[in-house]
Amino acid sequence: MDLFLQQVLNGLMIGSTYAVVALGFSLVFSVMRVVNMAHPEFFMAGAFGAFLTITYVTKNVLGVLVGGMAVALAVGLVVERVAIRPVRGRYVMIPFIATSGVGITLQHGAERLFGSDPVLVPPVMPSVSYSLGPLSVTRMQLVTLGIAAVLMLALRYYVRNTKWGRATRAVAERPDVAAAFGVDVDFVSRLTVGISALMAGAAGVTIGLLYTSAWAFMGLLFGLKSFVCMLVAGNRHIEGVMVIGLLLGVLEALVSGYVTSTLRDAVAFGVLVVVLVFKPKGLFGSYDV
Amino acid sequence: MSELLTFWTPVLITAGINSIVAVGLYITMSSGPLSVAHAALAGMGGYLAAVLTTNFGWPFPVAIVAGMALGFLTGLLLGLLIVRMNELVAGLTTLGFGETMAVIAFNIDYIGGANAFTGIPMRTSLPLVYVVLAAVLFAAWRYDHSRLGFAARATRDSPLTAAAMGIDIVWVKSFTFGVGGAIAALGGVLRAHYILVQGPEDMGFFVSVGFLIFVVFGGSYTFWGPLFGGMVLTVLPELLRFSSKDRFIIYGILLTLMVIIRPQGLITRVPTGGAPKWFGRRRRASTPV
Amino acid sequence: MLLKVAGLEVAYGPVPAVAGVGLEVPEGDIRAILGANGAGKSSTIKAILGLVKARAGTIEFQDRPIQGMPTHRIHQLGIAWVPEGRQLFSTLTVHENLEMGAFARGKAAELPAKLDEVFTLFPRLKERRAQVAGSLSGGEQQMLAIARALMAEPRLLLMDEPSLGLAPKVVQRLFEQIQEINARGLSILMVEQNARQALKIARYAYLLEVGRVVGAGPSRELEASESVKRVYLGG
Repeated sequence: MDLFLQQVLNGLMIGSTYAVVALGFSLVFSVMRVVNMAHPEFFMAGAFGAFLTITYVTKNVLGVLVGGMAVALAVGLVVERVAIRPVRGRYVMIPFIATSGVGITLQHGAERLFGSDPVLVPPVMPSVSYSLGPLSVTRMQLVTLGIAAVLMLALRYYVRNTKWGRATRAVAERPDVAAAFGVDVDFVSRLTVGISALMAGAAGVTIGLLYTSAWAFMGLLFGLKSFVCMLVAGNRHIEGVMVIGLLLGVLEALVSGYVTSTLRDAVAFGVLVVVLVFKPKGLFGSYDV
Repeated sequence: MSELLTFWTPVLITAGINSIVAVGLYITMSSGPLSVAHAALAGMGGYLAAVLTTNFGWPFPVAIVAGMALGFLTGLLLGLLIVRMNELVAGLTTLGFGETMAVIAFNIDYIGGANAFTGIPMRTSLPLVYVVLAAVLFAAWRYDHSRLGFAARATRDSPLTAAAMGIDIVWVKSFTFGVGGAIAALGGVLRAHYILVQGPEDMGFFVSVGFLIFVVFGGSYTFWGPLFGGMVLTVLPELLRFSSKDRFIIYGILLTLMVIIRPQGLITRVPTGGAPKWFGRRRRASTPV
Repeated sequence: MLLKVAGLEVAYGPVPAVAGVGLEVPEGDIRAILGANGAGKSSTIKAILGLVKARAGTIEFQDRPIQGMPTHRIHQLGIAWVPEGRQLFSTLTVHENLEMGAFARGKAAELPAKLDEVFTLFPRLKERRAQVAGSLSGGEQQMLAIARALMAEPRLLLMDEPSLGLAPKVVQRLFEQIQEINARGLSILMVEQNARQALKIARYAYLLEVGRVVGAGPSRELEASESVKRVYLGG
């Protein structure tokens, strides 16, 4: 029982970061009908941003978070300008390939800059563990969960309760009509990509700190799992993506703990296939593409 | 002269093999589904044939047939699985399949697990690859002009109309997936017996996306497209050999630029303006609200 | 002259939809564009809004050329759209749709006052204000589409086929409401297939056929004309 609960707890930590990354990706897809293959690189940029911030600026957690997110945002805006804006609205494969190209460039660029081996991210907080009964959790894990929770709640609030969040939903549904009521669709697109980059970047920072490493190709697996979360949840309700991300983390942790850790990465894809056979539009439904 | 040959032979062999797999993907995609599983199908063919020739001493031609049979059956099953899904969901199911296969291969020690299957006898040569490529291209040409080819394209462009005309969509889609899988497997067998190593990392999503890019970049309307795409995009990174780290950066940039400037693929028979199904930008007023 | 269009040409690829259309809407007027399906009526409206590119021609709003301007800027100048088929934001509530209508106006403070105005005109919408727009009936949706446009406090309202898909009684009430709106000073350019109803409230109309203006004049004249009667009013 203790092992079970501990694994669930660990799973929630990782799952919360899956959820954050998946949300950003899903947002861009819903609003712009674009599969942004460079999204994982926002995550990677966040981790390296954290590394650079710690090395040259400050070890303060908040500062590191801001630094990492800033780097991710910068990368996001460049990607939007270069690979998304020129081709938005066309055959869905075109932005897919264009962002893939940029993704490849970014990965290898990072490799060029930082080397092909993982880079050590110095820890920024004492390695303190807390006990909740029989379970233990480190301070870094709690921070990870906390940041993820704040981001998810903020996004939900933004989408539901703010003027621009409403405009974003309007653009997702009917961009022409939104434009006819004064919404600058280009701006909303930039805004959306920016938000997705900030979120993925924050997730990158927390993962980089949690595992004390950053690597040029770290986005790949994480990105894939987020894509899976989006597909399994459907893009109708952002809460769905959050829930699925958390569940995936927990499921992976349980499989790791009880079955074998080498199959951990297959869990996501197994779930994907199973769900899609029965509910091709995702568990909670999707808008049509 | 012989120096030139020694340098270019491996590149040409790889380009030829890539084109073979790309043509396989092209045939699968001619009936609609976007597949990112073809690297996995190629890999499965490679593994099976390798095991047969290395561990059991079977003759190469028989191993080729066995590999292709496996590719065909798996492709057929995959095709059946995704028949009712919308394109994006189907594509990402194939992603799930490919990744799962990669993870499974990673974990089966009999075929080498993480250390890959080695000791494969060299059976592939430059002339062989190009003879096979020519045969595959011939088959693709015949396919394009066959009733199955027309049925497939009708299914892709307008499934409802095709069904109304009496075309069995389920059969067309799964059969073309199977055929495409068989050809991809053929490529995989050739590759395994050239590189002499077959590993799980060649089966994953990113390698599959590579093949997808060959097809979309080269043009997915005729078989010349994947041929061209496979050749150019394999040779190009080699031409950029001045720095082995930089070349992928440049490759990525070139890929992005090329797809933005010429989105319909380099070789088309039909302008993509005639494919309204793919354009998602202007949502039509056909669903009055 | 509030709106002036001259020599408008719109084509979708090789297919011409509007082949030289000219029209005018004076301040305070209701004018109609009549014609069969495919005559180019909707394309004209979309071109005015900048949603489709005009291949040729000029469009002036308040003596200012607007062809080539991005749609959201055209809206900010004071033109609001009631699209064909309503095209509400179906996953947003009635209230949120109305808020979107006022998006360009910025100041949140005036919102409650404007909402009251709109609810007075369309009381049914007030009852349903928290409901998701996709769940409204056809007539209610049309009301919401108009209300949404009114929230923008425009100078000119472009209405595309307001009577489409509505029952005759509903259409009658709707057109009465359109007249009320015009009486408050809002200029209206309306595209309609229901020529009879349109000519009742419009003061002037244009007849479009295959992308060209084939006739124009005050409604009285058009109603009386034999050819119009035959083609558009069913004898």
